[in-house]
Amino acid sequence: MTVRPPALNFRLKLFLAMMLVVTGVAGAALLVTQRAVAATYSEIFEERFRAEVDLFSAAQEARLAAVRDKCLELAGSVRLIAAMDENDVALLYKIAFDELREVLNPELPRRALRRASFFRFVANDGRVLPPPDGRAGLTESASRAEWEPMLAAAAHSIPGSDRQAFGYLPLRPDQGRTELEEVIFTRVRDPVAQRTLGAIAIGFPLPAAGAGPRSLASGLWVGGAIYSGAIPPGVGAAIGRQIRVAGGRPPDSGRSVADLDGLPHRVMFRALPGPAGFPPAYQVCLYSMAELLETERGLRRTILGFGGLALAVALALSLRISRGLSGPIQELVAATAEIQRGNFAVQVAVRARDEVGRLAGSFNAMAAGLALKEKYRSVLDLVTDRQVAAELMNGSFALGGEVRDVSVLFCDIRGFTAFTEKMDPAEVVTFLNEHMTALTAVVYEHRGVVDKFVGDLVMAVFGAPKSYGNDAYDAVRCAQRMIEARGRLNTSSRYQVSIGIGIASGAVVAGCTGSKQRLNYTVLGERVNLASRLCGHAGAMEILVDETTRERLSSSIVAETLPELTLKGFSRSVAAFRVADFRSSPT
Amino acid sequence: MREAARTCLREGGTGCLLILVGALTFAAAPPASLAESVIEGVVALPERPPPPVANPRYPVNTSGALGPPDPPTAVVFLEQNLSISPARVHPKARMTQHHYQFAPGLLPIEKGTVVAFPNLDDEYHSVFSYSRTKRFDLGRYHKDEDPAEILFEQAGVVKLFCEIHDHMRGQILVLDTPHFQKTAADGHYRLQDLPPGRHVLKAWIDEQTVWEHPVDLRDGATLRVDFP
Repeated sequence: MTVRPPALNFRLKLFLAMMLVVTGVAGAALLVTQRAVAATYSEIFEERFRAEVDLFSAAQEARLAAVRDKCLELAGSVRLIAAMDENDVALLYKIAFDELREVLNPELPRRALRRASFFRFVANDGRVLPPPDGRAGLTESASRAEWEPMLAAAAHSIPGSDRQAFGYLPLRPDQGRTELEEVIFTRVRDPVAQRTLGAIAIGFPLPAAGAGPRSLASGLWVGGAIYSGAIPPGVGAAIGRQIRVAGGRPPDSGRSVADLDGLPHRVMFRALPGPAGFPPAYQVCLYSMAELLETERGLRRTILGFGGLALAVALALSLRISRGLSGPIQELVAATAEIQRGNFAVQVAVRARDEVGRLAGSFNAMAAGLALKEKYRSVLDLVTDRQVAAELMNGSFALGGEVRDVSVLFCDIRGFTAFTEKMDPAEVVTFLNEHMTALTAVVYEHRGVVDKFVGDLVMAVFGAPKSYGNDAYDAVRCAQRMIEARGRLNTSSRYQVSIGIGIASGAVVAGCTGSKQRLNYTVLGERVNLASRLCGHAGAMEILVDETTRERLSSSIVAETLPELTLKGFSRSVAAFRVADFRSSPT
Repeated sequence: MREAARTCLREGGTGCLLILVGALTFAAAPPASLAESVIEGVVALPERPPPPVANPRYPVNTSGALGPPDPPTAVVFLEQNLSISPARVHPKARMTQHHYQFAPGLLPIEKGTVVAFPNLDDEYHSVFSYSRTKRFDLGRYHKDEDPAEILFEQAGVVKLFCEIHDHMRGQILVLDTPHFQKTAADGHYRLQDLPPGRHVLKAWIDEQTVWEHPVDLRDGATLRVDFP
């Protein structure tokens, strides 16, 4: 069994539709705007990051260009090549200290070049040649066993086409503290023998990278840890997750979001080139998303505010529109109920020229039409029989007729001419109206059709236009009741008269006769004449019936056979019967 | 041996002189009845290496003509089983710098030889060696200066470099034996006046490549040994 949802009224539907539209439009606007803002900020972040990358590269180049050149000079020195060829470690370091004294000798006053934290020769077979003294840096470092193999592997992996390589190496110069080194590798190659002899590695501590301009924090991510004065270690974990998510090959660049000082920050990073054996290194920049979020919040507030306003306006409009619609509709509903009750004079107010107004106008026209039709119907009922009137209204009559088996009843007043002779014509009409009204009521009670009144005569038909089964019985019972009605009238009325009734049954032609402009429903035939003649022969308060009627009601009525009558218009004498009484019930 | 001779001469003892003469006769002068032997052959020499890539630090910017480096050659020598070398006065050898190359590129000498380093070019040269066999640094010198002379007292390889012209490479092979010869450019060699007996003949190409071949020299015979 399906449960139908409760019907929503028009006002609620309209309001829901308006709300849906306003909410949809506001939501779409919010979505589109937020996306546009996010895209714009994303571009801004990208632009800033590109600038930061350029700046970083330029700063690094400025920082290390001189040292790179120094290293290339040293690696190309024929004395170094000779010493390397001889594998004389002490001599090698002696030459290097001499060539690189500006960056290696702590006793020299600081100049443009930064002081290196360590310097090593790596032999071609991958051994880190042990430095002879502390000038090579980090000779006492506890973690030498960790980083010297990395150094050897990196030095060994310098691509054949390159003379130099660069990488970042996290070092622990003492327990607990980790320092990031920028390491320059320079290949030592004998150009005459065309043989690689080894490599030089020199490391510099990374200058502290801190907070930059425009709420920007930058740093380096190397081997799972972040090296920056401004970026918390948690960001390193976030980047590490991204790099691991990327799978086997670390991504060249990427972005994520991390919290810094309770504010979400856009994290942008890119891979820095480094030699094999060194941990992967990334340049990382953080950009505060506070401005973006504030812009988004403002937009959201504005759009939601306008949305709310639009919703309120929509509510008011829907109320107004629904009232403009439901008021007239309620009026129409009330007026329709009036029409149902038969009050065709009802009219509704036409307030506008819109559809509702047109509907009200149409309703008024319809009501007027119905009123007119009802009026016609009333008149029709008066001027013709109501059954006939109903059939006429249905339009089921056509010109011509049909043969029907009916019982025709004629009833007239005995001695009418003499009775009315001395009466005023108006009094005659009053008397006739009283008489006919009473008799017509009886005919209607017995489902008969009053065919016509001719002077004091009433002609009624039973079985046309519609048969009720036992039309002869209805006719005879009607005749009996007519006599009783006249008898009662005689006791109450100023006028006392007697009536006689003749009834004949059989086939007649029933239908509308006349012209297209003027029709009259009637029955024609020999039985009609017979009934008329029997009426004429009936005594006061007597009912004469023909043989057919008596035969049909042989079990219902007690009839007295009269001598055969010779009737005008009938070639042979006709059997006639006077109805004496009814048996208990008709069959 | 030479030291022993000097000591004897200084002390001037007749007995000592007699012993010395006997020793010299035994050690240095072979018996007159034994004829000298000869070994000859061919050494397969390595290909001449392609010209080196110029070092941008010191572009070869010479006022004179830059000569080609010497073609690769080998030194073939007879390793003797003598514990004491005969005292000999070695003629002075020369390692010139000419056309901005060491000439010769490879110089075999016997231990105890003095080598002069004359500069025949119009520019300064600054020849040095970091080899453990003989480490020296001649500093800058011009062709007008008297060439420096170095005595090589230890057998081994001495690699020569010029600090000013870093393409210049030379080698001095200091040997323990007087019986050696540098091959011709096509690898041919001929060692004469060799003492008979069982020896090892070696062909030195470079430090990593030394072939050797045992020889049994008969009196006056000529042996043919090709390497490898």
